Amino acid sequence: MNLKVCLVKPFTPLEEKGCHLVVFKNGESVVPPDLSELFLTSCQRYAQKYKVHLATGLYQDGNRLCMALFSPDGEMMGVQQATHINLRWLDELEPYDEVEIISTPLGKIFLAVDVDIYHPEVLRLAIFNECDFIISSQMFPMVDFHDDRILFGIRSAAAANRVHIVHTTPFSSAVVCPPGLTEDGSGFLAYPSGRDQAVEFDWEDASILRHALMDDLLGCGCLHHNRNLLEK
Amino acid sequence: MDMSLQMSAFLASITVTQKKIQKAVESLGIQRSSNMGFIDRRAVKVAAVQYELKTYENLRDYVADVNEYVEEAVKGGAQLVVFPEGMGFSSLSLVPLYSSVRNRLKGAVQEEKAEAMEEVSDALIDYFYEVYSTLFSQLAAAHRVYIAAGSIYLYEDDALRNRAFLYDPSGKEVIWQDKLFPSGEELDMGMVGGETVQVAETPLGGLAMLVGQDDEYCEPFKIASLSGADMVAFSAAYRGRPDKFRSMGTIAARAFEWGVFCVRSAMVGRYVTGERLNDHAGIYGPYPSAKGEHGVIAEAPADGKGHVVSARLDFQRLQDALDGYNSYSNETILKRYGEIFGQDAIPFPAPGR
Repeated sequence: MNLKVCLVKPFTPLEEKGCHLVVFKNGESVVPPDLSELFLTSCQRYAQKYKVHLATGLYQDGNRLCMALFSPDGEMMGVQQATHINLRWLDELEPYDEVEIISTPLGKIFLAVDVDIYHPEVLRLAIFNECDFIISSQMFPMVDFHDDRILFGIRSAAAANRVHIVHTTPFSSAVVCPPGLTEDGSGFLAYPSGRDQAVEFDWEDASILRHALMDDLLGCGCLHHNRNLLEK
Repeated sequence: MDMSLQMSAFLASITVTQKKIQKAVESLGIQRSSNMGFIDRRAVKVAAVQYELKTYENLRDYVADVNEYVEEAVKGGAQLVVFPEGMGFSSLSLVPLYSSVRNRLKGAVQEEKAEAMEEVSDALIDYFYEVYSTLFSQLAAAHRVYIAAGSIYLYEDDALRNRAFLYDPSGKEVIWQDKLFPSGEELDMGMVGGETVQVAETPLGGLAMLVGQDDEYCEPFKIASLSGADMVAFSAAYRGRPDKFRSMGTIAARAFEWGVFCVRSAMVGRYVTGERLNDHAGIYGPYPSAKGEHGVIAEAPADGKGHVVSARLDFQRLQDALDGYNSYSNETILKRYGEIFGQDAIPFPAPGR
């Protein structure tokens, strides 16, 4: 399915025509618990106003770090809570234990919350649960933001799982896919940029590659024999 | 089987013997190194070979050429030297009637290349193994260093394997490692993927070997790391389009994910089937511990020529690579992930053909 995705600062008036999905970048910090209800209500209105699917940035609900997806009529289609917590927040936040795929008319979507993108086991679970593409939202303090965090985060995740990933941080947005699907081998359909971006892609381009990968993984005797280590 | 191949295999068994290889190594007058005399986990010297495929006139030329890589590495202080995938085939041009073997492989249309390669492998498999095991065992002992000799095809229990061997400084075979994810062509040849990841406890540190496309999968590196590997000797012979991004999405990413150093060899030049291999060797580490950019500690130029690239690795720095962004684990998620591989195992391809 061919999708047009717009990656914008939160609540930016949408000028791009024909956009199916809007993904909000994060603000300078995660939306705190006392503002999360207001934030979600505003997100709902934004989705309704522009008739788009909307992936929110990161917000805190109680002691969980979350991201939500709204439909064009403002229905909350799903929420994913972070399954892993950045060590600096481990005292305040609780990890969640489920990887949930959200079925939408745009495809089956997994919301990778913050540092979940660095955990291969989370992304493997997402693809084995048949997600079609991933939306990843990360929170960085400026001091930690550098290109290796992108290259060894979304880019290697897209290559390793043969999946498209739409990515936002407070400072950047990007869309990445398996490297072989791009002319320059970079995997970037939209390079990381501080500007708002609109990108079109068809997640089905990667689905054959991904299914071959899953067959390879399930067919590998070594991984079956070492299941105990993989669970550590 | 092709008559000329049969003849070639027969003549090879007479003309290239263990004794002749030993003699050729002895004739090089190799001085034993003292590189293993001082070992410190904060300064382990490793070398990755970017081996250039060549046609050799005779056994001595071949042995001298392979030795040049080892010698360059050893002179630079290397304690471990890593050769690429398919190193076992590097002696192909020495087989009697080589031109007819080469024509058989070069002349095959694309769809028949795997079949032609399979025939050559089948006919010459004992020859290749004898040359490979004798040569690398002798070179490891002569230079007194560890050599991860790259891989070679062989049969075990009637199943074809792509297997890499590690030789210690006495020339003894320490561990072997089968390629876990054979390529499509190799599967067509009836190859079976490996079922274990072996880790050698060496004085240098825990050492695993992985082969070929195994760096596209994170799991083998996780198994290696949790089995005690500090570094992975990776034998590659990548046939794809070379690009500056590849190592970042494969071997360097694996080093970052699992906190290991990766010493990646490469093969370049024209393959006997006519394909050109354009790759580059390199040494990679988790990027917070690697001084270079993008986890690259050292990399050979992708110029299609033979090179040796070396680096001194500090295993203590692997602990410094602990990163708040990826070092916390969720046990429930890990258990669910493990269950993927607890599904009824997909039967291995039938051994042999």
